[in-house]
Amino acid sequence: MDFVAGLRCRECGRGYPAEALHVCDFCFGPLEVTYDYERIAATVTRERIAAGPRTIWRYADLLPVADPAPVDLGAGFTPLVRADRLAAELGLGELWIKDDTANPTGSFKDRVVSVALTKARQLGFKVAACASTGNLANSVAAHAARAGMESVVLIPADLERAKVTMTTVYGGRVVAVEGTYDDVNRLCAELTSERPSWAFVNVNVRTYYAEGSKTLAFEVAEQLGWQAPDHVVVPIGSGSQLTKVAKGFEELGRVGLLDEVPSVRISGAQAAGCSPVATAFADGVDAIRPVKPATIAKSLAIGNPADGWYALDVIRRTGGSCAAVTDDEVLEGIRLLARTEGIFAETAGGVTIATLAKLAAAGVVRPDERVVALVTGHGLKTVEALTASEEPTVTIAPTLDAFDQAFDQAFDDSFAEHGRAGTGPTVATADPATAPTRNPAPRSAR
Amino acid sequence: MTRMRVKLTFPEALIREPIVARMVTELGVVPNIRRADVGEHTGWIVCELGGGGADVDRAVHWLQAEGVQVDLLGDVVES
Repeated sequence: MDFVAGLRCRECGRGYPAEALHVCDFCFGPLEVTYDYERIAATVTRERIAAGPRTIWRYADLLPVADPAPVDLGAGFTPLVRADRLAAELGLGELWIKDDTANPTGSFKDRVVSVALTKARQLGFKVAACASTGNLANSVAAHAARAGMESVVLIPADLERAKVTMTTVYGGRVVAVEGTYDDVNRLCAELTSERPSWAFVNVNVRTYYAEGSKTLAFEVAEQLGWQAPDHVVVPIGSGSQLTKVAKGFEELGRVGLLDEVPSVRISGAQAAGCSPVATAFADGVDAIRPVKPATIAKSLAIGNPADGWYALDVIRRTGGSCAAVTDDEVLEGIRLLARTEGIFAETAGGVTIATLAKLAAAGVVRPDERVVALVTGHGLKTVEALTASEEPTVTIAPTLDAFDQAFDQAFDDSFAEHGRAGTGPTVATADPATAPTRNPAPRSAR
Repeated sequence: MTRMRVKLTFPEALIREPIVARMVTELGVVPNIRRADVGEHTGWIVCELGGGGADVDRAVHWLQAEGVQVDLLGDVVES
């Protein structure tokens, strides 16, 4: 059984039962899941969590739906990677990357969709639906397939071919909508009121869907030995994830899973081409002014973020910051993370890393802090952002001479020590009696 | 009857104009206001626009032409 107390309006505080509701009837404010924290505190322990599955469902006591067989592809419990080489480049101390590229469909959306569809199924919905430009569509189609639910996914007709394939392969109904982004948005808003029997994951079951993001905070704390970090950098699209990461840490403190009451600074990362929250933060105002997105970070391109104000509130309340980075900085952020830590992030991850770099350079993220950066999607999702600029170091004919020439001319000086007489592991000299007869010939002979 | 939940954001230049009243009298679309915040420099209204047939769409275009920013409530299309 779950520990949900009900739903509550974030604006006027009015209470509602835990049904398929997402806005307050009275003031149109968004609804939030509330829990019976006393009962959770009396039930949940670190051992109980450790005995659970290595997925988000190990934290079921703190999620809005309990189901012994959730709609699950294995989302969550992704690696938390100590990033010393990246930290050194950025002048930071203890830095960790929460690598959500490792989720089943390659992005953090699997966390929220797994929760949303489990709840939707419990509420009696037979059809899972969403409108998406990529990651959400992939995840909804995959989870619906796994659950044997029908799915209807609306995508813009001009979506890149690879993104369409990553959704259609799961066999649901994929509807390509001709029109501008605004046209698609309008149609989908109308559909959500015309088809109340469909679970639109980020609309009529959004209240539950959003709770899945709390698991990022739960995992980070557990993976750090049940300690909260000092500072987390979170990308902002709708702003929902940032607010739920904060809620996650607060809940862990509240139910007694952490040794200390957590005090986590939360900073937001946006692309300059879609930065309504970073702009409001910089201007010191409360009003989030909607923008028309123009950025390669399409998974963050929400010009009118539903949770923008709430994200801004969390940032200010926790002593965090918010900054925006250009598309060039995003690409450099992707390369920097890949080059230093071997993690290939999508453009949203580039936004996070580039913003982390910017905040570190400004002294906002400090070397004495234990820092976690959320990398929320795999680079293969947005590989087109880099294909024009990424080339092999050199292209050669299939001969040793060509390779040697390339080594001398095209490899940079930092590689010189790895030449023919370079350092490396000591290799035992072969016994001449058993050595192969085809000894390497002198170079001039080849 | 069509209904659309929107946030109307008014720039400073329109704060003193009776835009909403004109929408009702000239276009026959009625706002059901739920939340609002009107200050000296900017203002917004969260409301449901109600009207017959294409009236609501026409009202949205009219508001935009007058300089009001019209946004649907919530994120519908996500990445």
